[in-house]
Amino acid sequence: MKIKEFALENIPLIGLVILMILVSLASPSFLSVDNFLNILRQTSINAIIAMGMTFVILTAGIDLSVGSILAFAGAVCASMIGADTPLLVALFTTLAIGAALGAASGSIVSFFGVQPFIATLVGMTMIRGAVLVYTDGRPISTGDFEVANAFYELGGGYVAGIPIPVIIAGVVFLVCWYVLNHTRMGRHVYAIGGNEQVAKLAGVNVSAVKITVFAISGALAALAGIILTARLESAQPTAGLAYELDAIAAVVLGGTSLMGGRGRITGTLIGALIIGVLNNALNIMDVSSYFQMIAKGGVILLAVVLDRRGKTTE
Amino acid sequence: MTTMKLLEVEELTKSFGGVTAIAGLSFDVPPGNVYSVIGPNGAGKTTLFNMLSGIYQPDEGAIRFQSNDIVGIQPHQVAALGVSRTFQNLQMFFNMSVLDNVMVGCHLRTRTGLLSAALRLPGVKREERESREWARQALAMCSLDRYIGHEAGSLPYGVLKRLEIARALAVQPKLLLMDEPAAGLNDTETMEMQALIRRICEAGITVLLVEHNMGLVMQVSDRILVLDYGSRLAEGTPTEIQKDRKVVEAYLGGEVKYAM
Repeated sequence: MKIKEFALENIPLIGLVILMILVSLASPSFLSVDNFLNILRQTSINAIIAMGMTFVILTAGIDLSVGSILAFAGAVCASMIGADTPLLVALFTTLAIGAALGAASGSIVSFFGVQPFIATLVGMTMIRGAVLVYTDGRPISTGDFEVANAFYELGGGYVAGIPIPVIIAGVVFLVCWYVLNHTRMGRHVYAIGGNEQVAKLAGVNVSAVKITVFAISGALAALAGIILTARLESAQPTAGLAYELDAIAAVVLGGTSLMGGRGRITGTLIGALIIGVLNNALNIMDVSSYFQMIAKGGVILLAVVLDRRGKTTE
Repeated sequence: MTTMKLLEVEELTKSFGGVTAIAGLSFDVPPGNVYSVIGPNGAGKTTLFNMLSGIYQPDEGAIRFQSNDIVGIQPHQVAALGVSRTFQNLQMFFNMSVLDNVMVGCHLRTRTGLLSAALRLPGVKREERESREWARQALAMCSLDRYIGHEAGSLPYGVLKRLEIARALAVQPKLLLMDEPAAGLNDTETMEMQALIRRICEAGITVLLVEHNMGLVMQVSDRILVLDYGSRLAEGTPTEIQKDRKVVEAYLGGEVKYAM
């Protein structure tokens, strides 16, 4: 009984372990420290976006604009670095722009009663347009100033053998975990997703919390944009296309309900790792990228069906 | 200088389409009382509660709480002023623990924003500790101590009715609106609910009660307002109401036998 309870509570984790066992049987080169660090580094960008997405989905919302915010933030950041802006100024400005774009979507949701899907679809389209206008459809290089070298470290550097993006994702995870589990803000996020009307009457400022979760999602998308731009030493106008779907997939794989109110940030981290391991496995097993998409969709479907069955037998 | 009115309702009117749910209703609730609103189904009791808690806006009239006009302000602002409520149909965060359910209401007296939550962890920790302490007190008052870690969705109905009250108390209200707290409860649970309502009142919280169980209403109320078709049929102490011929004819009927 205890084992069954544990299994139902931790379907995503068990899925990840089974996946890793299967892959290591199929391909001996999977099990190496280098490959693991590689998976973590590739996963970190999606994980960071997905953790912001978790906040929004817990309030029963969705944020489709993260991919566009990533690209816009990356473009602005690259041009600032290219113009020799001090590193911290460039980073904070970029994060603030991401948060402001997210807050704008959140305000449309809160004050005009627009569905989050529609509000962020509008955001996704307009911001992507703004990226293309801003970049004129061409990549923006981070340039040759001294600051560009320091900036590169954010995407390509290591501390004690661990890739810096992985460390950043780890810090983001700890902060998100703390906020969701041990602060008033976190409790309000769950409360709104669980029962918005009651939350309102219990004195929760629902509009403010909703704007804040979209701002968090936007800021984390911008952070992901910074890391991607740093690693590539340039901002691509098409960066982040369809990233919102990978982020949503990670959240759902992690067992968070799209209806809101139920889910854990640890689940999202595991969900992102499942996608990362799957991508890596299909790559080292030389599966064509066309088949990879089919396989990924299949795994997500399987995970969600298993999760639903687990919940209904509770 | 103490005003003798905690809540003043003046010429309140609300219609839905062609139906007038509340028609020119006026009454005052004095502080420290259990004040009950009774009347047949459809008399407008829940509509009245929804206007008092800011969910509906009245078409006409005024609602003053501690002399502040609360018409037109948001539900969470009404709550911040000290008006909190429970529901006729149980409203709960079913996927959260009992303690968390109550802690959602605990924040109104604490003032840490997200930025300081990110920057000043010690302040956040203290706030969490205070909220938890206050939530425990609210739970203890409702005799829910032993359910603290349970998920709300797994608990029986009678316990959830009390949990709803604990959550409403966590807002630290001056006025608690209770919409049919005894509905669906068995006799023992109803007795416990009656004792709880008195305890809340003795703790200095004014209670505005809507309830169909006349035995409970007559036992627990200081004053009673009888509604019919959205307007006042009678108002007075339980004894006065039971003697009022209009009320007996229109509503109480055979239930007079519950009189003390």
